[in-house]
Order: sequence, then C-alpha cells, then structure tokens
Amino acid sequence: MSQFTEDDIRKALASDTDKAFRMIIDLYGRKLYWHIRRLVITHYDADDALQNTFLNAWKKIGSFRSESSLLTWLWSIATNEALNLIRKRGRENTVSLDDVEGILSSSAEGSTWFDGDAATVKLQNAILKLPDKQRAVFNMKYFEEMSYEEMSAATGTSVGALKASYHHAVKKIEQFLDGD
Amino acid sequence: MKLNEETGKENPFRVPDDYFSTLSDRTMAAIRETENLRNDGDQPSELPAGEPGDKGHRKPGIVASLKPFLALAAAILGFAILAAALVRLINVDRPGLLPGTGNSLYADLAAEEIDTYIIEDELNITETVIPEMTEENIASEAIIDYLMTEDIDLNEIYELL
Repeated sequence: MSQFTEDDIRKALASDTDKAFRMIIDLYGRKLYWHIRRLVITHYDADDALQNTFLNAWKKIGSFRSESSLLTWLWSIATNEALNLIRKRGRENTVSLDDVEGILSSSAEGSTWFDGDAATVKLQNAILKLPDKQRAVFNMKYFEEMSYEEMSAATGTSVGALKASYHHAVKKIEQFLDGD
Repeated sequence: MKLNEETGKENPFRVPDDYFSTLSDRTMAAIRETENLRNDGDQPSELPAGEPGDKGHRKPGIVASLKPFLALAAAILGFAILAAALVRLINVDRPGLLPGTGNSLYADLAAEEIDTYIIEDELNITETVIPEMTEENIASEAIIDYLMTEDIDLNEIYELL
C-alpha cells in the first residue's frame, strides 16, 4: 500500500518528475486499472489502455493545473482511452460483442483472467448492454463508489446529467436481470 | 431484481501475478522507449517548443508528406518538356520526320510523278526506236573498231573471205 498522498506527489512534481510519476503510478495505477478493466473486459486491453493513459499523462503533465484533482484528471484520460479502445474493437469485430463470453472468446487470453459465477456474468452482460458512456458512469458510481462531484470533474458532465444517466442505467440493468 | 441485493459487487476479473507490483517499472520503461523514439524522429528546431512555427512534435501535414512525390512528378514533367524541345531542335532540317510536313511532301512528290506519266501519255512520247543493225547502215570504221577491240586475227578473216 502506498504511504504517500496526492500532496506529496504535487511537491515531487516540482523537483523530480520521474520520481513524482512513479508515485502517481503506485498510488493510482490499481484504481485506474480496475476502472478500465470493467469497461474493456479483457486484461490485455486493460493493460494497453492503462499504459496509454500513463503515456498521455506523462506528455501532458506540464499542462496539469495544480488546483484540480490529480485523480479526476487521470480518470478522464483513462475513461477516454478505454472508450477509444472499445470503439476500435467494435470496428475490428464483425460480430456484436455485448456479452462477456463473446468478448473473452474473441480475445487471445480467453477466460484466463475471468472467473465470475453465473450471477456475476449476468450482471456484467447487463452492464455491457448499456451505451459506452452510460456504462462508464454506472461503473464509477456502482463499483468505484465515486461521488457525483468527482464523476463530474472526471467526465466534464454536469452532476444533474450524471444522476439521470445513472438512474436510467440502474433501471435498464434491473429490467435486463428480471427479463431472464 | 434490485441491484446489490442479489448481484453484489464481486469483482470477477483477475490479473496475472505481480502485475501491480511491476506496473511502475514497466510503465516508466515504456515512457522512456516512447521518448527515445520521439527524440530520434525529431528534426532539430531553432524555435522553442510551443512557439508558433515550432514543428518539433507535430505530425507532418498532407503537403509535407506528399513533397517527395510532388518533386518527382515535377522532375519527370521537366525532363519530358526538355526531351520534346530537343527532338524538335534536332529534326528541324529533316522535314520527313517532322509531324505535319512529311505527309504533304510525299504527297507532292507522288503528284509530280503522276503528272509526268500523264504528260507523256498525252504527248504520245514513246521510247526511242533503235534502228535495226543491217550491213548497209553499219559503218566500215565501226566494224574495224569492233574487230580491233575483240582481238580477232585479221588473217582468219582474210581466209574466210
């Protein structure tokens, strides 16, 4: 577990960028990985998107405004990378990938890094039926338990719109789960 | 079915062993590699980064990427124009090879030949008739000259006579 805070990273950024960036990865790498992984499903895609997230963050670290939260800034980069990868995969695949088994079977890793039970698979399939951005909103609120204010800062969407989006997502998922 | 009641928040996803413990090393190595690639591909710029006109980290535009092909096309066009001019210069004294003049010249020559035949026909010009060689119209000197050139022995002639 990391022993430092975001304030320590801000201080390190002023003197040693390499050290500060390692601290960023150690502090937020795990959190960002799981956010991406729930969106893209496979480990290899999640690893790709996470590497790209940190590469982009490294390039833009000079333009990062110190008054905003480092985590929400990284969150917005990670969300964009994940959604871009989903769109790319959608173009590459001729079959619709809106269930976990389909995505895993079409990937090289198969189900190596997935071992959910029937109820979990069913929930993941229901989440995959949501539009991409609504899926990101649902995951942030339901699994990562972010506040609407944090989500607003990460997505650039108003708190009201995020609340409405999450409410609709929950309704759709419950309908899907009741349907089978 | 209500969320949370039956579904829970269990994470069904797994990661390879040591994935997170090696994440910062792998990520920093990837960043260094990307930085090196970018530095290798960069052209030296005299302008400071971020200034207008600084192309240090920009992707080349369409015109810039097509520049070599445009230069090649211009060179080929220039060579073709020079070659055409050279051919015209060399063949200026050879009307038959020059387009547009050769055909008319041959036509003129053919017309002249035809005209000659027509005139000959109209004037009833025939070949000169060579008079038949007879003993009466052959001069004695001519006979003697013939015999001299053919190296015939006069004694043989006398004997025959």
